[in-house]
Amino acid sequence: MRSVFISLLSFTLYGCLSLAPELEWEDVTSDHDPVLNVFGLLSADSILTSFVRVNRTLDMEEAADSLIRDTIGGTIFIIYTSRFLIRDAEVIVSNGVNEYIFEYTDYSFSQEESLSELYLYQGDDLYPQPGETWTLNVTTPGGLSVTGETIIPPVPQIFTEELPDTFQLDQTMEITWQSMADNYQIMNVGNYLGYFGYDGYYGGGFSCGLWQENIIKPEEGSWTYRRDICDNDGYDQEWDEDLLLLNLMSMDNNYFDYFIRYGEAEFTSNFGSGGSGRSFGIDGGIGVFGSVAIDRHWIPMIP
Amino acid sequence: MKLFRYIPFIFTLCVYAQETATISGFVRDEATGEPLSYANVFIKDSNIGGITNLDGYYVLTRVPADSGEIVVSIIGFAMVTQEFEIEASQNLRLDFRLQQTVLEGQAVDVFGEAQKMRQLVEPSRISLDLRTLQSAPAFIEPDLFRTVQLLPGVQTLNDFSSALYVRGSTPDQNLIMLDGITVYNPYHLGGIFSTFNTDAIKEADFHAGGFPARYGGRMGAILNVINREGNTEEIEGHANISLISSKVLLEGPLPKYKGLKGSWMIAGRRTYFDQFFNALVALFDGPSDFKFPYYFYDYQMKVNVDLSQDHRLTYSRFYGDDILDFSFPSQTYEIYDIISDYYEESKESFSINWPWGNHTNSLTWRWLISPQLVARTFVANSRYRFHFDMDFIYEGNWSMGNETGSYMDRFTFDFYDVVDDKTLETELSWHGLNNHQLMGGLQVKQVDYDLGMEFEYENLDTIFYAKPLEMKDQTVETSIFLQDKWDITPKLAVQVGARVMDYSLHDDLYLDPRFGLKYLLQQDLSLKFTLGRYHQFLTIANPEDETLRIIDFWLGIPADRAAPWADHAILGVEYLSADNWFFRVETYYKHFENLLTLNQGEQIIEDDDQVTTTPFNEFYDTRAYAYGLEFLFKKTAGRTRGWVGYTYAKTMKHIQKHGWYFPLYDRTHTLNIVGDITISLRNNVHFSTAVQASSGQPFTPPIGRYHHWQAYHDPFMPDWDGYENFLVGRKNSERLPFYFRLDVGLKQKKSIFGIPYERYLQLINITNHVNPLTYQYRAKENRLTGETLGLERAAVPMFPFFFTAGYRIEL
Repeated sequence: MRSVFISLLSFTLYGCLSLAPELEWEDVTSDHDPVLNVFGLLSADSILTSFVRVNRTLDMEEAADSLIRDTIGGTIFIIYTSRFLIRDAEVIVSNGVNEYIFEYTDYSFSQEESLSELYLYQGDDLYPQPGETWTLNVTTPGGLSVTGETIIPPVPQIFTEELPDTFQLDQTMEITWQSMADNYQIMNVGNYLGYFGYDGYYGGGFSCGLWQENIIKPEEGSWTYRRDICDNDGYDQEWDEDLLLLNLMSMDNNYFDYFIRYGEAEFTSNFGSGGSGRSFGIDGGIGVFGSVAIDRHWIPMIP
Repeated sequence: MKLFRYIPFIFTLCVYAQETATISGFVRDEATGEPLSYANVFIKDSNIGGITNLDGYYVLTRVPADSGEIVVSIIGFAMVTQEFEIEASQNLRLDFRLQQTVLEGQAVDVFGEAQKMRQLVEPSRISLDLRTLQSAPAFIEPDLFRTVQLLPGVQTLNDFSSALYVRGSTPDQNLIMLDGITVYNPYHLGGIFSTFNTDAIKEADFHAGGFPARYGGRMGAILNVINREGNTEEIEGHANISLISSKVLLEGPLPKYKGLKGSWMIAGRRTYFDQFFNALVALFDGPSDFKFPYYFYDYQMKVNVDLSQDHRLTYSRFYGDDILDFSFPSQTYEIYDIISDYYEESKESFSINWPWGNHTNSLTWRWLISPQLVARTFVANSRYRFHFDMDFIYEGNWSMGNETGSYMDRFTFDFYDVVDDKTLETELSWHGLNNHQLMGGLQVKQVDYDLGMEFEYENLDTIFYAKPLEMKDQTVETSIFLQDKWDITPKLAVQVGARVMDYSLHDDLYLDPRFGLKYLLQQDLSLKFTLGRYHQFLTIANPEDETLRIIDFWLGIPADRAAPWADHAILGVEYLSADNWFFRVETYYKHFENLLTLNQGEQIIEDDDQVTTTPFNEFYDTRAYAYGLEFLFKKTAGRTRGWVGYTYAKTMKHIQKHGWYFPLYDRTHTLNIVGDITISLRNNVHFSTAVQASSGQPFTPPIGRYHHWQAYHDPFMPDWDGYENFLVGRKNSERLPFYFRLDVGLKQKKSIFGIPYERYLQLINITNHVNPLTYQYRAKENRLTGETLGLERAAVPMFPFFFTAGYRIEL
């Protein structure tokens, strides 16, 4: 402590030699015309729902959120709703033959969060097929609009017959799949019990090192998988059986470019992370209109 | 048959040649033996004359065989005349020692100003001596680079950097030399100070552009720092203590041995705050393992040995390092749980060791082959390295009942860059032809680059080692040059030359032509013009937008990249009045091609399918241009000395991603005023001031906000959300506010017990003007509702008002 005091005293002596000017804060203004920021995703997977998120950009002087008081069952809830969000846009997705109108789904406590504050198709006849070209058209009452285009990727296929029937914790396993000539894929592996606190990334004994991700280039078709080396704090949890989950997702080029190739912020600076607002598959605005397909498999896992 | 007509003419020439002679020699300071450059040497009542070069050497050819009087003069010294008698074809050696006649208050900053203006062809050249370096108020202590930053055409990035941005060129495009040796990363304390000890400097020659063929390998400017040679008459020294460092300089003659003569000089500098801090801790707290982690030091030495009248050997050495040595001593922990009978003992330690700096050595052999022919051979090694080494260990043992165990985690990270430059150079200067000064030479430069990063993780049963970055290369640059300064008439001179270079990683040969012209409109008014092409074979891989740069990552130009080059065109007018007021107006245009800008931050896919950020060898193709108009008004003698410099300039760079944009170092208007006034001759009091004002630095403004969509890829179901990001405008499209800083200093010479000393006080940014380094931002909120309303910003200030003081003692 005395060392710290002495060092502080030394720096204070040096600091006494200077007088720091008082900071003067000023509003940041800008002359920016808002544009639409759209994230549209078409899914050729039976479980993953296609959706479109419609936001707009704000200039530097606009508020980012609005306070809303909502009374539910006599209790007042205070919510900050985003002013980026556009709730009254017209969103039409088309495969060139049929048009599918996506409608806005607002936030509510009963709704799953991942399916709220976005545009969903309420019908049951939306089935994008590999190779098809789909278009997106978004228009707002305020006069903003964008269009987009995506080509549905092939459906991925894990060669499950070449996988073992069970997976022993420290086993090495060769995972193979149908390679694609023109599309990237991504494989994610993890364990089922990891969703319930047996999270491999933060230690926790046996499942440490199981959660892995592999970005697959076109023409690639195999991956040697084994548990990563990681710190084991010695506290092994008891378990007899678990499931090793494999998720193989194919994607179109728009999705790959936006989320993977250019996934990080373009730069960081004193005001935070930022960018010029990239667009992939979107015209007239920023964001991405992409498409994915998924294949899943799981293997019983033993210690 | 036509040839016979020329025979009488040729015979006349031969006869004439046999009736002339040559006089040559050295001109030195009588008190110290230091050579005097640009001294005027002429034959009285004739038009035969010349100036001494940087070594103080002069040669007068075509001196009629007869008797006469030779005159040597340079401002600040008493003129010397000497009668001579010379026979035809004789080579007469006459050395001179001049006595200083400078009275206090009438000191001259730069000697030989008039001769430089009249004799030298290249424009944009300024020489700085120790007096000039000490005349401007300094940030803590006088600094060469910070003085150069006050000259027109030179820009700064911010108050914390002494790096030189010259007429649109970046610091890596400048050739910084110490006694001819290239110095890489010539900074201390992360760029706040240069690595040169001003006490050891005799002179610093700065070419802002248009330099002749004898210099090559860089596109921007040349700064040639020449150390003192050492006092040839007696041993003397001085010490200097400022708020940050202490300096000592000693110099003297070599012991006379078997006819050998010479001199030596050694100067050293070290910060002392770490010693001061450690002593305080020991005093108040007893012995402690914690030491203040940072210090820097440098020392330079120079030894000159005159083997004979015609042979001189000079050894020059510079060692300078910054050391960051940060280590927490091992901490031991013990826990014991009596209920479960669990005992654990663990230990952890952490250290960072980070030295960076330059080590140079050179040996120069100067040989006066004949009075007209001087050879200089030079072999040098310059090694720059930084080595960031971080080490963390956590280990321990445990027991519970009859069970025992142990663990260990060790993580080491090593990041290094080494540049090892070996140079062999030989140069010939020949004054044998009438009105021609020919110079030619050969240079071979081998540079080894080693940039790497490695880390290792180790526990009890595993070792994981990775070396994600390894860039090793060796390049060899071989250059030959030839230049000729031709005095066509007493008023008109041209300097033409060329440099031919071979770069080992490329198949092409590179040609850099150079042309310079000087026309004396009047005896004190000259017009100068220069054109030239300049290639460069190395670059730095630092991010372009970094504000604070501690170290440089040097790389040789890869084999698959074209060599960067620049064209310079400079036109200027210089005038020197009878009472040493110097005016210069210059305009320049520079064009750059094949520049490299680090491609920072983009994600790429490596062959092993790992997504990583860009390493150091991904670059944008870049081109640029710069132009400007400069005014310099300088007073070099009298009680008030100093200069006023104004620059109007524009620099633009182009990369495909951003198009044309202003780089961070672009300033449209720059005004610098530097003054040194002798207030009281009797009390030896000097007042100095420096005013710096310039347009603000460009920056990229945030113009809006948006949600950047982010993916979470999962073994069961992927998910997405958005986080707030800022939309930015065009790169560097706005300007920070106007920059202004006023510094003043007071200096007084006194003595105590017969020992002269000087004390000084310096006030920096006396008006406490807020000069933004950048902006800091915060969200603006409605305090009642908590709604975010937008963004506010405030300047992150650079130097506030502060003062420093110090002492300088003459021994």
